[in-house]
Amino acid sequence: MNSRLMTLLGLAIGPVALLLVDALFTRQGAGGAFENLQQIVRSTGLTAWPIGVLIGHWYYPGPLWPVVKRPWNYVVLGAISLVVMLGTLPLGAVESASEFVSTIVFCGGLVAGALLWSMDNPPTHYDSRVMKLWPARG
Amino acid sequence: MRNPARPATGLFSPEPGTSRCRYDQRNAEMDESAKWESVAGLVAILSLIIAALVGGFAGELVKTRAGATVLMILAVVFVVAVIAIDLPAALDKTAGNTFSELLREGGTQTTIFPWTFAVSAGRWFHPGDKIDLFGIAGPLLLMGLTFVVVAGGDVLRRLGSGIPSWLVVLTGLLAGALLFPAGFSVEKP
Repeated sequence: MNSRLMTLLGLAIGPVALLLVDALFTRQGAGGAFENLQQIVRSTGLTAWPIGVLIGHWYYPGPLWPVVKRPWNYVVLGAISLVVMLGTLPLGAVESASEFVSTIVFCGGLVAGALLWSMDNPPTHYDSRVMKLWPARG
Repeated sequence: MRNPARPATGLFSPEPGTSRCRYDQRNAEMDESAKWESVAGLVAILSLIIAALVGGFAGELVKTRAGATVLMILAVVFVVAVIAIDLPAALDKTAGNTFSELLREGGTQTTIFPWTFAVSAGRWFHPGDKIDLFGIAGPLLLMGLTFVVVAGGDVLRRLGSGIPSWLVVLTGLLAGALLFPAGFSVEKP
């Protein structure tokens, strides 16, 4: 699939997906269905973490390459994601957790997405500052 | 004069690697691409209709269980569709065609995408359940700020120095949280 087609599909589907998610996250009327969804969104990291990671992955200040080499960065990111998303689940029942949990987890996700899932590759040319972090092989 | 050792190649069986063959391959790829773009156009129209319905009736729909279920199903379908479309793009040999790569590249062309995502995230994940600093003026201010960021970003890009996407994201997060926060009323069990 070429970039033009993907852009077209993204523009076709993306805005509606965003609108639908926004409606579900924010417009839960009194006595409506899925009341727990708001609580999950605000009091746990189940939704805030992946959204933070994605935005960090897309818009990190760059060029930047993963601090853990590929493919281990995916393993580390997956492990941290599991810990955060499952670890914050019990907070759903904690009074006042909705005031700050999603904000903190979202910011953590931004940083994790930028540091562990950045799209650039480390430079191949010799750079003494870089080579200290990424020693040459072979 | 043609080399007699070489077999003759007909009009519809060009020799592999020749410019004729490459031309035919390119035509076939363009036909395939045009077909998919027609499909994408239909999806876009359907998507616009759903967007209009969601925008108009979401507030009412979520008040009933059936309506909320419809919204939930639609949301899941669309999110799954985005992932399902992105997967083959991530696995094929074409570089730079995944949504992630296009969004990052798009961030250098326009501020609309990082701004939209950041404002939404700020709106959903702001600290405090009941922050409302600007009241009804908030959304109006946000509309004005959106115009400034999008138009200003475009002008700056044409002048040769666009606004970095990460800066747009940070500003958008603050704008979404302060000017357009979702009012939550979480009922504790």
